[in-house]
Amino acid sequence: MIDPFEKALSDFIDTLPEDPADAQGLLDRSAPFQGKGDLPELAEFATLLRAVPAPAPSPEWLAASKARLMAAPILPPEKRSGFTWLGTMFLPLAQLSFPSLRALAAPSSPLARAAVAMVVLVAMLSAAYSQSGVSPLLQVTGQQRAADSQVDAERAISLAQLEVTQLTEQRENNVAGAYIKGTPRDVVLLAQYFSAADAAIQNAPADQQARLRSQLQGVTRSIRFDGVVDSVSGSSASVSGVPVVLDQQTADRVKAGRAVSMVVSVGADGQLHAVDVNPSPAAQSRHASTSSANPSPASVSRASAAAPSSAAPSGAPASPAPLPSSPATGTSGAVTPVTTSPSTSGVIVSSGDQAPSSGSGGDAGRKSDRSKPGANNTGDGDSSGTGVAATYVNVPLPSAVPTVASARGSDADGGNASSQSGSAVTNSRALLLTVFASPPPVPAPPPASGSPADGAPAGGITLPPLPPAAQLASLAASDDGGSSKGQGQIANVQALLAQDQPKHDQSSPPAPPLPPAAAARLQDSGHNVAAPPMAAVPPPSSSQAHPAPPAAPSHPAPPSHAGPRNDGGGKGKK
Amino acid sequence: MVSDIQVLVQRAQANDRAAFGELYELFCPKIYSYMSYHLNGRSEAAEDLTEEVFMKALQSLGSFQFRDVPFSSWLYRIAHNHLIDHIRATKKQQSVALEDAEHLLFARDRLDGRLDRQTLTTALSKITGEQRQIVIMRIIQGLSITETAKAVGKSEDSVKQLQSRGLKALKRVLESEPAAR
Repeated sequence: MIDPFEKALSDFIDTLPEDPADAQGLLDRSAPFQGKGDLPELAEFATLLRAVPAPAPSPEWLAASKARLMAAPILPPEKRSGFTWLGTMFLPLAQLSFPSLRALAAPSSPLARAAVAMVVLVAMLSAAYSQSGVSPLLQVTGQQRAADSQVDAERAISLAQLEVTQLTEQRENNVAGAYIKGTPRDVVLLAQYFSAADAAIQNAPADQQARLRSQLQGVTRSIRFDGVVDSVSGSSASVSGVPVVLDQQTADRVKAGRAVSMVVSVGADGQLHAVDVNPSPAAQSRHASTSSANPSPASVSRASAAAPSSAAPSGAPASPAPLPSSPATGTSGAVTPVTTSPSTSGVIVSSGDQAPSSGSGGDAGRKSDRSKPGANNTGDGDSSGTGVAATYVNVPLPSAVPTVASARGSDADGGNASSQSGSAVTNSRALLLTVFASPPPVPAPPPASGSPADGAPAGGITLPPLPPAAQLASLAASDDGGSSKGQGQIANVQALLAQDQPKHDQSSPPAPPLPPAAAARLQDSGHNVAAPPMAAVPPPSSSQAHPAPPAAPSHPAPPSHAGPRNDGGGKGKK
Repeated sequence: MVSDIQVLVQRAQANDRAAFGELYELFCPKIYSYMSYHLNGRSEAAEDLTEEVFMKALQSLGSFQFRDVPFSSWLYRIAHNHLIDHIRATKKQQSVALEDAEHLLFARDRLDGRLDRQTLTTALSKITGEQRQIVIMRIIQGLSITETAKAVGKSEDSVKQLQSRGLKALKRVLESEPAAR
């Protein structure tokens, strides 16, 4: 669509005279042009441009150029057919020339050709119809395959070792050389590693299998993990998705839906065989707390940190007895069956003269109890005031006697504090201290004894706590260094006494509750029932390494919440 | 006129050099002017290019056919293509000759109501190529709309639009450079 203005301008330009002089005359006559808008102005400007004399060539050049053109030859018209432009495009290629191959001076003789053909044919036939039936190349490949299988087996063993090492390093509460603690996922992975290693060993050369198997057997095959029994069918069970093979006796005791802490050993075929099955500490704590007759906050907390026997005095049903341990079935043979108290979550092992530092035990208690609602230590009288620490035992033991001290505390910082003080005895009455020796000096109790104190494993030496009377005396005489007060503490003491009594003598009836007079005296005096300062705790006697007498006073027993360690309780309050 | 040109072309195509000579005398000033305006007044380059344009026309005259394209448009198209080739070839070597520089320096002698050629040439170099081409063909050299459209390969409406814009742009350039005026 043309603009009328542009059309009018174009029409005006068409009317302009061709001669610049005429255009200049028009400009002289009519300028300035009249009209509206820009049209007159542009028309006048166009006339001005037309009036400019155009550059003209010189006559000499014009004549010379015309002469050259007249003399120039006219080239014949170029014949163009289809794809002419392609021809011009590839013209350089068309002009290429290739060097010709030099012809052979003399062709090879037919005899030589026939000889070469015969050699090739014989070689092919010899390879195809070898008497051995196996090409030398294939033989080399077979040897290489055997070597590869050996390398694969060693690699699989190394992977299993690496997995065990990683699990050991990740977990602080592992039992070195006995078993490692992991999650159900770790169990499955470890089983797969061992299964792969076994399979690789079977593929290895026969002369190397024995060595490889011994190498694999040197790897710790036992692992402890906590889980919930999903199902039990026959001699197999599924614990948190991990299939485990149980012996019949253990399978009868394990019920679906219960939380267990299980030590399994990886068999040669990758199957997981249960070595030891105990109720899980979490379930145990819950059970103990719910079965308490007087579920005050203190007692609940105490019960959560104590053995299941704490519920015994109240007449409530006892917590499930731990399953008896069974000997290790791992192929390594180095697995030491370790059975811990049902409430044990932290495990310390030592084979020296002394038990290890309590740092790890405290950490174990921390790990196990942080997530439990009843296990926090608030440190005041309104709550538990227990400050039960993960403990350790500084018990001189004969060397080369593996010692397992299991401790449980509700205060995570307790273990550390005990470690700092260097005290030989814990300040927690909730301590469940079990020292195991091998061979067991005490025959194992019947597996179905039903007593909560049966948590002591076979072959274990149970260090008895203070008798109730001595404990009460120490409690009454202790200085009020903490903030625990009131009825909760008395109930706490009762719970402690109740829990300690069965451990004192497994065959004896449960300890009676705290005498009302003593309880009232303690309550009226406002004394703290917490533990005395660490320095006041008597050092362990020399009898701890042996089956302790029932009234061995060397073992600490005062309730926790003592000294600087129980600042953790205050810390919690803060 | 057109018929005369057509006869001359037909004669030239019949290898009549005299006829081609007449065509040369008829169109050479215009082609030279066209080249000169585009080459910023460089006369020598314009002469060379003009001769080369007619040489090409002579060689290609046999392929020219009178259909829709006038001979002038065909010739201007050859000139324009040749000019473009020349500009491309000398784009990196553009320099103003001393003679042209003197023209630029003394290009202020435009009288009132008159426009100097060199000033016009300088101003033309400051507008776009299409506008310059249309202004030269259409306004300075007086080609018709049809011839210009055929020469540049555009529609007549585009030529009208370009000539209008070219005039405005050229006028703006001349007004913005008082020294040039």
